[in-house]
Amino acid sequence: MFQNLNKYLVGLLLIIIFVSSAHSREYCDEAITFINEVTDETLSIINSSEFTKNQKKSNLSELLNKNADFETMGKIMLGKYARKLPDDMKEVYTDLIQKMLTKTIYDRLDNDEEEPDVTYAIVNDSCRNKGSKNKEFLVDGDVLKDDSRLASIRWWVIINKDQQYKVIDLTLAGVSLTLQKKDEFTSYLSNKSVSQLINNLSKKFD
Amino acid sequence: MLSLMLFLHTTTSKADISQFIEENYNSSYVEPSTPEINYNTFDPFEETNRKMFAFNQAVDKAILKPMAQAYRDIVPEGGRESIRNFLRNLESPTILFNDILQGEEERASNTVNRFVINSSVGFFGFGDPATDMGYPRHTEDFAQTLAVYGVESGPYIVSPLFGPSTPRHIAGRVVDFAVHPLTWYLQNQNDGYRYSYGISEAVVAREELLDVLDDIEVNSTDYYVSIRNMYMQRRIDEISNGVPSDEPSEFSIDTARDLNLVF
Repeated sequence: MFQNLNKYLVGLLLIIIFVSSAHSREYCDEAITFINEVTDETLSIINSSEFTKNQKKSNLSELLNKNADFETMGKIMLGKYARKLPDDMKEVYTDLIQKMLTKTIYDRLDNDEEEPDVTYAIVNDSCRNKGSKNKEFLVDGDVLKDDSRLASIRWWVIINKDQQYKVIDLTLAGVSLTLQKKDEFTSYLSNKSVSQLINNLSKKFD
Repeated sequence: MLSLMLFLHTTTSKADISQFIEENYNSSYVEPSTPEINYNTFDPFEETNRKMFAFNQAVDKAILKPMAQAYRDIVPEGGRESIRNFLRNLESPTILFNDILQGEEERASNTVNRFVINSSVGFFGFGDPATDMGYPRHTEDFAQTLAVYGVESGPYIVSPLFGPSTPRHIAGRVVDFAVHPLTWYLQNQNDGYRYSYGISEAVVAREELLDVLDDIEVNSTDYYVSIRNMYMQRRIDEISNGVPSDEPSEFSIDTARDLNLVF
C-alpha cells in the first residue's frame, strides 16, 4: 500500500513540476512579448523624425508610465530608507522618480543626432524566472547598431497585483539604472533626510 | 531562496528577519540583476577618492573637456569615426595578447581577422569593414585577464588623471602598456610622437563620452557615486564579455513582500 502511495506522490510531484514549468514558460513568453512591444514603441518614438524633442519626451513619458512600475522602482532605489518615506510624500516622490527616469532614459537614447542614418534595434530573446512565484522575470537581449551587436540589455519585469507586466529595471551594457540610482540615494541619505532628497530631485526634475 | 526562507522562518522572529536582511543585504538590499557589490568595503578611501575626483574634474573642465569639445567642433563625425577606428585598430595587439591569455580562441581569431582586414581593406585601420564582415569589435585588457584568473580587484581608487580604478586595473594598465608593440616603437622616437599619441587617445576617448558624462552629471544626485557605480558595473560586464550573469540575485521583490519589508 505504501509503495502505491509513494508512486502516487511521485506522480503528483512530477505533475506539479510539469505544470509549474509550463506556466513558467508561458509567463516568460508573455514577458518577452511585452518587452518587445515596449522596445518597438520606444524605438519608434526615439527614431521618429516627425516629433520634436518635447513631443518625444512626452510620448516616452506616457509609454513608460503605462509600462513601468515607478512606485516599486522608487522603493528599490530608497532601499532600507524606504520606510522613512512619509506617507504624504509618496506620491510626490514617485512622480519625481518617473520624471527622473524618463529624462535619464531619453538622454541616453537620444544622443546620436549626428548619426541620422544609424539604425538601432533591440532583440529580446531569452527569459528566466526571478523569485519563486512566477511573478518576476529577467528578459535578456541585445542592442544592435546597424545589425552589429552594440551591447547587452536586460529587463527586470514583474507581474503586478492587477496582473499587468511592468518593467522595474533596465540594465544596459551591464549598467543597471535602478542599482545606479540606488547607490546615489543610499550615499545621499547616509547623511541627509528623505525630504532633502525629494527637494533635491524636485529642483532637478520638476 | 527557499532554503534561506526556511532558515529564516525556523530560526528567527519577524523583527530578527528585518535585521538579518538589513545586515546581510545592506549593500544589495533589493539588488536588481548584477553580482553583489559591497561599497562599504569596496571604497574604503572614499574621502581621499572624492578629493582626487574633484581634482580630476577640475583638470577635465579646464583642459581635456574643452579640447574634446573643440575636436568635435572642428572634425566632422565621419573624420572622428575614422580616427577612432585607427586608434582602436592599434589596440589590437593588446586585445589579442589578453584573448590568448584568457584562452578565448574564438575571440583571439576574431581580433586577428579584424586587425588584418582593417589594416588592409580598411586603409591602415581608418575604416572598420571587419565589423560589416562579421568580426565585431570587443575589448580585453590585462586587468580583465587577472580577474578571469581569480585575482580580486582590491579597493576602489580614483587615480590622478586616469580616474576610476582599482589596484588590479592599475597593474593591468602597466602590463598592457609594457606589452604593446607601439610602446617599444615609440621609445626610439622623439617625445613629440609619444605625447601626441597619448593626448590623441585621451581626447578621442573624452569626445566619445561628452554627452554621456554630461547627462550623468546633470541627472545624478551624487556624481562621484554615479561614476563609481558605473565603473564597477561596466568592469563586471567587461570581465564577463558582456554576457549577463547566469545567477540572478537570490533577492527578489517576492521575498521582500514575504518578509513584510517595504513592499
